[in-house]
Amino acid sequence: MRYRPLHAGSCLIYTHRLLAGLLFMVSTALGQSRLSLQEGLQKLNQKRGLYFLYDPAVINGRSASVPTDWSLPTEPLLTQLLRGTQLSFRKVGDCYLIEAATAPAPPPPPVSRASQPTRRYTISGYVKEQNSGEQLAGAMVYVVGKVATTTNAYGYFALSLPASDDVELLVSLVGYQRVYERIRLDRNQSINILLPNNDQLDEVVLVADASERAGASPQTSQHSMPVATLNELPAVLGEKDVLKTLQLLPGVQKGLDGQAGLHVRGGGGDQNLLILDDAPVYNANHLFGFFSVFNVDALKNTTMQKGGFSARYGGRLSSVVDMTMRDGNRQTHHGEIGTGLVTSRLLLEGPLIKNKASFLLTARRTNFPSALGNFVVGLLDNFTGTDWKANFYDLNMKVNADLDRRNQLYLSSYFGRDFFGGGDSLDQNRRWENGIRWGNATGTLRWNHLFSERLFSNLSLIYSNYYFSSHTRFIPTSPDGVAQTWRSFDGLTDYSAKYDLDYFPRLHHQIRAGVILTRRTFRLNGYELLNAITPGQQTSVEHNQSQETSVYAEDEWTTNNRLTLKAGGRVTRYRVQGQSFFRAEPRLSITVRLTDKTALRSSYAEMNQFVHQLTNTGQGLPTDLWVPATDRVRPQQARQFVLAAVHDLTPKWQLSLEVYQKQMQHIIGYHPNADFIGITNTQDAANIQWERNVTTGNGSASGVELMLQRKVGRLSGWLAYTWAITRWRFDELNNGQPFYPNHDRRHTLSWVGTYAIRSTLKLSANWMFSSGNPQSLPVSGIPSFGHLGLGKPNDLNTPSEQLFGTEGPLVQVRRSFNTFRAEPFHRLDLTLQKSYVARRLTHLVELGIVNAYGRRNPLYYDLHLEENNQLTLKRISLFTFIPSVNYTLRF
Amino acid sequence: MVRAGLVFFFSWLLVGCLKTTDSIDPNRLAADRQSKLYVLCFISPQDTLLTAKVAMSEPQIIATLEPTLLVKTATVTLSDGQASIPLLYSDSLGYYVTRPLGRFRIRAGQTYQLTVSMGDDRRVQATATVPPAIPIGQVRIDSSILAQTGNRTSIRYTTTIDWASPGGLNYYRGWGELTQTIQTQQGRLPETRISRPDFFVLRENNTGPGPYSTTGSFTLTVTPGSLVRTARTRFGLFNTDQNYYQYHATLREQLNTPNSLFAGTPVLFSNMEGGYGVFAAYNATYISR
Repeated sequence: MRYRPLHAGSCLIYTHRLLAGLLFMVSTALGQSRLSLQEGLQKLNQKRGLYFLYDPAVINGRSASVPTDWSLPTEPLLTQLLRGTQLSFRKVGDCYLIEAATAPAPPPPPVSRASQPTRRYTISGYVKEQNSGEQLAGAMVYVVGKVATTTNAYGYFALSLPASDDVELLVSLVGYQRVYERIRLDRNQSINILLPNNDQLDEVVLVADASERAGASPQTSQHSMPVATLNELPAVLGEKDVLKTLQLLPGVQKGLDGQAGLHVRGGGGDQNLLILDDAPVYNANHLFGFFSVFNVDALKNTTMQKGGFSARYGGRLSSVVDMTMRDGNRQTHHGEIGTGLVTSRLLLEGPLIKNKASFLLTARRTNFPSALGNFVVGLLDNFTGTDWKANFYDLNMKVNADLDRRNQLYLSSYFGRDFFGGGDSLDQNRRWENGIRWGNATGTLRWNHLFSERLFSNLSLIYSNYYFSSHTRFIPTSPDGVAQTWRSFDGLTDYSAKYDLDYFPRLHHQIRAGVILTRRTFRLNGYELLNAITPGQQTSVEHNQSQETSVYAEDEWTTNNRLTLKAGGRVTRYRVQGQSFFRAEPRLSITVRLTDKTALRSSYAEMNQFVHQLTNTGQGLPTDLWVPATDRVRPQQARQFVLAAVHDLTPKWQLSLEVYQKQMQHIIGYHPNADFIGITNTQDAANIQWERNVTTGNGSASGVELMLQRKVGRLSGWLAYTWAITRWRFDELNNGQPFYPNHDRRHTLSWVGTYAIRSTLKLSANWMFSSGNPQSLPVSGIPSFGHLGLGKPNDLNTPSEQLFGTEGPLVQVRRSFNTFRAEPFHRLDLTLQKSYVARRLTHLVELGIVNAYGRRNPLYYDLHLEENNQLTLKRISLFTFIPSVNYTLRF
Repeated sequence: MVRAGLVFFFSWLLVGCLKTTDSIDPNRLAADRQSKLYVLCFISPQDTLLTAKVAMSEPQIIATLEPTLLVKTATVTLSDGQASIPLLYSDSLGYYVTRPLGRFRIRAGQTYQLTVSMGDDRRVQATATVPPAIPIGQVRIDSSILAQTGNRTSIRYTTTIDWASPGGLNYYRGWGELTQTIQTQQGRLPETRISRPDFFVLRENNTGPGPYSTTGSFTLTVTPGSLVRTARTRFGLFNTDQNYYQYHATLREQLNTPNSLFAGTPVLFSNMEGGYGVFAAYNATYISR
C-alpha cells in the first residue's frame, strides 16, 4: 500500500521557510514566552541551517514554547519547541520531519537477510514538473537510510529494494520544492512524482542540487547549469547565452573576449562535444561566435562534463556539453514574445493531448542586420565596401507523446542560418559582392521504452548537418559588364543511430550500456566558378565519408555508505578511407565519503576524437572546416586524471577542489603556409587543400580549480578560482619548442551572484578576472628577402632582386609563439530583472550593463607605424560599457 | 523613421562602444633592442655560384629603406667540416658571392655550416643538409581566358610539374620560366615576354611513394585577337630541406597576415643562431624545351 500520511489530498509534504524572522525578534524583545511554531522553525533554519519537512496545514496557527536556552543541542531544543503542540519530530535524511504525534511509526529497520530471505521489489517512475508535466533529469531520489539515485535524461528512475512495510522517499532538485512520500513496499511500485516549482523566496528547499552533494555521486568535474541561472545572469546586449555562461565555471576559458568558444582544461575550441537532444552541433556560433546557436528559451537542462567522463560520451577530448530541449507544457498553452537590441524571440508551447502529448516551438531573429554588419566590418580594419549586413535566425521545435506508460516518443529539431555580406562598385561596369552563409540543422527522433521497471531503453535516430558557403560575385551594372561568381562550400552531415539501456539490477548497482553507429559524410574543398566568358561552370568538391561504431558500458556501484564506484569503458571502431582504427577508452570514477559532509573523488578517463576542426583562429568561425581523422592526420587522444575533494559547508554552501592533469596527443595545429578560406578570398578556394594545412603535436594541461557555490535561497551563485597551465608542442611550429597556446591563462577568478530582492525583482551580477593570455607580437624588423623572390610578389629587376627578392617591405619579426602576455582581463556585468504580473500576462523588463566600470580589456594588440614613422602599440578592446534593455511578454 | 533611429542608435552603440582602440607604450613589448645579423643563404649542387645576403635587423621595427639595412663588411664563410670557403661582397651584385670552381663542392647528403661575423662581436651560424634530387616526370601547361574586356584579354596559364615522390615527409618548390611571343592583330613585330609561374614551397607527408605535383600560374594580358606562342620553357623542381620550406612559408604568412582578429599569428622561422634569416639547401632538377 502506498500512502501519504501527513497531508490529505496532496502527495506533497514540502519544506517551508517562514518570512517572520523580523517579527520573531520583535516578539522576543517584548518578552513574550510563546511564539508561533513557524517562527521558531524559521529561527532554527536561519541560525543553524536546519531544514524541516512539514505539512503547512499542520503547522499554521500553532504556537510554540520559547526554549529556555537556544544554545541547546538541536534535538532537546526541538523537544522544547514542540512541547504542548501535539507534534513530534524525527530525522529524515538531512532534515527533520515535523508530524502529528499520532503519525504512523517510522518504517522498521530492514530485516536481517540472515534471519529471513527477503523478496525484492522495485520502485520506479518519472519525476516531473508539477505545472508543465516536463520530465526532470538529474532529480535526486533518496530512500531514507538506504540508497539514492538520480533520474536519467528522461526523468526516469528505478530502485530495487528488499520488501518492507514502509520506505520513505525524498525527491529533490534545485529550483523545486522537495517531495516526501511513504510507500509500502509489498509489491513493485510504479509512481510519478510531481515537483512543484520553488517560487517562494525563502522556501526552505534543501541543499543545492542534491546529486551534487558531497559523496552523492562519483562523478567528478561535472556542472549542471539550471535554465533559471542562464536567464538571470547578465549577457552582452541582453542576449542570453549558455556557452558564455559556461565560461564562468572553473576550468573553462574563453577564447577572444565576447566569443562563445570554450577552451576546457587546456583543450582547443574544437574539443567540445556540444549535444542538443542527442544531436551533435558542429559550429555552434551565430555572428562569428559572438552568440551561440542555442536559444535559452528552448532549453531545459544543460550539463557540462570536463573530466571523469561517463562512458556514454565520446568523440571529443575536453568536454561534453549536453543540452536537452524542453518538452513543452502538457497542461496549458503558453507563449512568450520578447525583443532586445540583437534579436526578437517567440516561444509557443502547449498540450497536443492533455497530459499525454505536447509541443514546443521557439524562434528568434536579428533585429538590425545593418548595425550588426557594420559591427563585424568594424572589427576587420581592412574591409572596404558598403551595405554590409549580418543576420541570423534559428528555430527549435519539439513534439512528444506518451504512447502508454511503457512507450514515449520525442521528435525534436533545430534549424539556424547566418548571413554576412556586402559589396561595392568594382569598376564602371560592375559591382562586387561578398557573402557567406552558414548554419546547422539537427533532428532527433527518440523512442523511450520500458522493457520492465528495471530496464529502460532509448532508441535515438539522429541527424546533424553543418553547411558553409562563401561567394564573391562580380555583378554587371551595364551591358559591358561581365558576370562572374566564385563560390566555395563545405560541410558535413551525420546520420546516427543510438541505443541506450539503463538497467537497475540491484539496490547498489545501476548499469548503463549502449551502442552508437554514426555515418559522417564530408563535403570538403567545394569550389564552383561561374564565368560568363567561358560557358559552363567549373565545379569541384571532395567527398569523404567515415563510420564510427562505439559500444559502451558502465556500472555505478555503491559498495557501502562510504564508497561509490563507477567503472566502465567505451570501444570505438573508426573507419575512413579504407582504414580502420580501434580505440578502447577506460573510464573510472571513485568517491569515498570521509564524513557525511566530506568526500574525496577521483577519476580517470581516456577520450578520442575522430573529427578535426581546421581553424586558423581557434574562435569557431564559420570558415572553420571540419575534416575526418585520417591516417595522415590521426585521431586525437587524451588521458585525464582528476583528484577532487568536496565539502558541504552548510546545506546551502558547498566547497569543491579539483586537481587535474591531462595529456593530449595528435592535436591539430596549422603549419606555416596553411591556406584558409577567409571571409573574402573565395577566388583562392580552388587552391586550398586541407590536409596540407595540418600539422600535429602534443599538449599537456594541468590545473587546480576551487569552487564555492550556493544554488538556493535569495542569494545564489558561485565563486570560482582556477590556476591552470597549458603547453603545446608541435615539431613543425615554433621551431619545435613548446609554447603556451592562446587560451592559456594562469589565474582565473569568477564571481556570479543573483539576489532576489522580491519575487518579482532580481539583481544579478558577475565579475570575471583572468590573467593575460599569451600573444605573439613583433620583437624586431628585418628586410623581407626570399630565394628567387619567393614569399611575395615582386618586380625583380636587378641581379640581387632576381636572386633574393626585394628588401622591402620590412617584416615585423615574431621569433617564437606567444611570448607576450596581454594585460589582465576583468569586467563587471549587471542585470536587473523586473516582472509585472497581471491576470493573464506577465511583463518582464530587463536592464543590463556589460562592463559596468568601463575596463578596456585587450582583444588583441596591433603594432602600428604612424605616418610620422612613430611606432605605436595599439590595444583593441571590445565591450566597454554596453547598456541593454530587453522586454518579454509571457502569456 | 523610428526603425532608422534605432538602427542609428544601435550602430553607434555597436561600433562606438563595443570596439575601442587605445595607444599604449610600445616598450611593453618584449622587443629585441639589439640590432642583429640577418642572413640569407641558399645552396644547391646545381648552382655555379655560392651566394649570401646579409643585412641588419631594425629593433625599432620601422621601415627604413633609406638608409638600407644591408651589410657589406661582414665575414661570410661556408664550410663542410673539412674545407671552407669565404664569400665576398660584390657591390655590383649587392650580395656576397664566390665561384668555387671545384675548390668547394655542394653534395647531396652533406651537411654544411654557414658562419657570418662582424667586427663588433656579432656572429651568427647555421647548418643545412643537402637533400637528394628528384627527377621531374612531366610538365603540363594549360591556359584559359580569365577575363575579356573591350581592349584587353587576360589569359590564365596554369603550369603543373609532376614527379614520382619517394613518400614520407618532403619539401618541394617548383620553378619555371616561359618565354612567349605575342603577335597582335595589328601586325606589329612580335613582343617577347618572360613569365614566371607563382610556384610556392610545398610540404608532402605521404606514407608511401606515389605521384605528386605542384602547380603554379601566371596571367598574361594581351590585346584581343593576339596570337600567343610559347617559344621556350624551363622548369625546375627543387627538393628542399625543411629550413627552406619553413622560412618561405612563414615569410609569406608574415607578409600576408599582419595582426588581425580573424587570422592566426605568424611567426617567422629562422635557423640562424644568434640572429635572423635562414641557411637552407635544396637539390634541383631542370627540364627545358
